[in-house]
Amino acid sequence: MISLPASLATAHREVSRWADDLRQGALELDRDPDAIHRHLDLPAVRFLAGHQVPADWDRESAAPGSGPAHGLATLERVLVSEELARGDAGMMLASPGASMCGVLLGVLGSPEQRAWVHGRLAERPRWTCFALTEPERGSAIGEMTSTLTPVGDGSYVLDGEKRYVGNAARADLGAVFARVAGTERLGVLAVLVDTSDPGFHAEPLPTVGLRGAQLTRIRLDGVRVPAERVLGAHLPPTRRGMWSIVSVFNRLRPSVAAIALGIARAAHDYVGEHRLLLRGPEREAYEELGRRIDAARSLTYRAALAVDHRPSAGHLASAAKARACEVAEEVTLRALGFFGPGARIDHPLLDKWARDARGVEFMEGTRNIQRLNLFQGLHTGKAGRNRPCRN
Amino acid sequence: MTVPPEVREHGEQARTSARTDGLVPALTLLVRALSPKVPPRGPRGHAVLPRELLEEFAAEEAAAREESPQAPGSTGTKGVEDAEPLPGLAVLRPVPGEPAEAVPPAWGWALAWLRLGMSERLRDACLAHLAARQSEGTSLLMQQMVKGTLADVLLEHLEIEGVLDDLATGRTGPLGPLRPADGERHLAGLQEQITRVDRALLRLLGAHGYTAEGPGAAAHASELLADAYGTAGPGTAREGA
Ligand SMILES: Cc1cc2nc3c(=O)[nH]c(=O)nc-3n(C[C@H](O)[C@H](O)[C@H](O)COP(=O)(O)OP(=O)(O)OC[C@H]3O[C@@H](n4cnc5c(N)ncnc54)[C@H](O)[C@@H]3O)c2cc1C
Repeated sequence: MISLPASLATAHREVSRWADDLRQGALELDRDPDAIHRHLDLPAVRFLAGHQVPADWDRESAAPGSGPAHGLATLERVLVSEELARGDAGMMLASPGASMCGVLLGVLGSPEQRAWVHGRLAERPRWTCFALTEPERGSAIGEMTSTLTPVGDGSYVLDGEKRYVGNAARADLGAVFARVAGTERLGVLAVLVDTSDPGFHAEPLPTVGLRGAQLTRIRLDGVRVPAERVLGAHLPPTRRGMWSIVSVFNRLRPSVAAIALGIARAAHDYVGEHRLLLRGPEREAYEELGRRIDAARSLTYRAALAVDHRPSAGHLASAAKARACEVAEEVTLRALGFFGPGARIDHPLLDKWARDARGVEFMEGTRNIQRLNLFQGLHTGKAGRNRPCRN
Repeated sequence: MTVPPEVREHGEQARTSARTDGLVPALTLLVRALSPKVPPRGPRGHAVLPRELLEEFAAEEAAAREESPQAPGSTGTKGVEDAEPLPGLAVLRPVPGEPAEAVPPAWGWALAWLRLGMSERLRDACLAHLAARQSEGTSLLMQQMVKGTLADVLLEHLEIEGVLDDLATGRTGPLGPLRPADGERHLAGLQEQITRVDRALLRLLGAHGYTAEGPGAAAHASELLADAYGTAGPGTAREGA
């Protein structure tokens, strides 16, 4: 059992009450990703936008973007993500706010850079994006080809293409990863861009599910990046590029696992609510799915705690991410079976969740990539040493 | 259990057409062959069919009404949803109070052939896509894990093909006649198997398979077909739904 600090338990209770609001907008957003603009006043959306933190949530400081005082930022994101995704993962991913950029800033941002981003986000609901994937290379992030060409005064010119980047077409700010011209693997840098700068073009890319995330294709044509927008300049070079990506992924994977669990739970709860008289093998099947969700959640909590204690401890995060995505696909497909022929047409939410569950697979690394990480952990002796992480 | 020879023939044609031309042309062939007069509706009255055929059916219904205005009107083309899961594909809801026309016999088995063809089409797309993606100096197709998954996919496809073939020919094995099968449950299991293979392929396609323009939209339509024409086996009774 994992015991939560009291303030985190409070936060969890509060967030779980926000889920229903998100559900209300789920199908509308599935038809039209821009529908999020009609829901900006919901408490969950305001929270994600960074505009409202309930008073009883302990923060490190009053500054915008400040983390929790209990220090378990990843675990908090996990609890919040599962509840909000249970409401609707699309609405959650469509919401404005620092999102993945916030985590990146936590790892790589200087105080001034954090203040700049969070200051702009505080003005009004603004979206951010996190541009890493390229058209020809997704999993192989080390081989990215977008380039930062030094101009000589510490600033750069950014060129290249990114693909499948969430929210980029409505973002005001973004973090873009690219390689410094002429360098190898260690030459990857993350920079902040203002999407209104000349040369930044983003175009939505309709998807089969998770439509709220509004994936995009981005073209970067000579975007100017001033020196003060280069992330990690205050850190040693080895801590800037690939290291930061791994570190951010370790922190984000438990949250993606939690999104997958939220989707699974939505479908599972739906069966429980709409099929009141489950008996015999059906009841057993339902309970078994519930147990699978619980087991994956337990793994996810442990993964979050491990990363909160040691950011480089990412093996549990990979395990949780892989397992939770598998469970989400399984549960959302099996949930349909409880309603018989035409379930996808009669129960559009179930159809949506079955489509949404497919999408989490690709966020923060596919199942194969997580499996490769797990093998690496086993091979190097960093994982599988029989020390369960509790608290 | 055997499937009538003509259904097998149409099913095989639909499989080939699905693999080479895609879901809408293959479904058009199948509906024209097995349900030429009315849209085939699933056990609860749902239908998924080419919009072009829907329009043809509607025109025929209108002509029939004109000829004999007193005759009871057909509800075959009612309940069309606005959204198209795939360009040219329409979804029909059940019409309340109107019993659905019985689905043609063995329609479900013919659909399984079609879905197998769609799954093979997805496999083709996957091979081409992964062969063109490079990582660490080689194509993604040559990664051991990818090869392993594709080998598993092929294995499933070969097994499904064999099962469909045996059902169609009524062939008995060396150990005697095939195990007596509950047709509905057997078919449901096979459709589920196809969906799972598709899902494995979709994972291999990366985010490309998640875009509306990529092969994932047709895979979703194939899942929708299995759903609308599914069988109400155990685990599908419903109350208060
Ligand atoms: C909903 C959603 C949101 C997203 N949000 C963002 C975002 O905000 N920002 C962003 O930058 N990107 C985002 N992405 C893109 C995502 O990061 C990529 O889809 C992911 O990294 C996989 O890349 P790919 O799709 O190009 O697949 P590929 O890398 O082409 O992989 C294809 C297949 O090959 C397998 N594979 C690849 N390499 C290996 C290997 N070495 N060994 C074995 N198997 C391998 C993969 O597991 C996969 O099954 C998002 C995607 C989705 C679907």
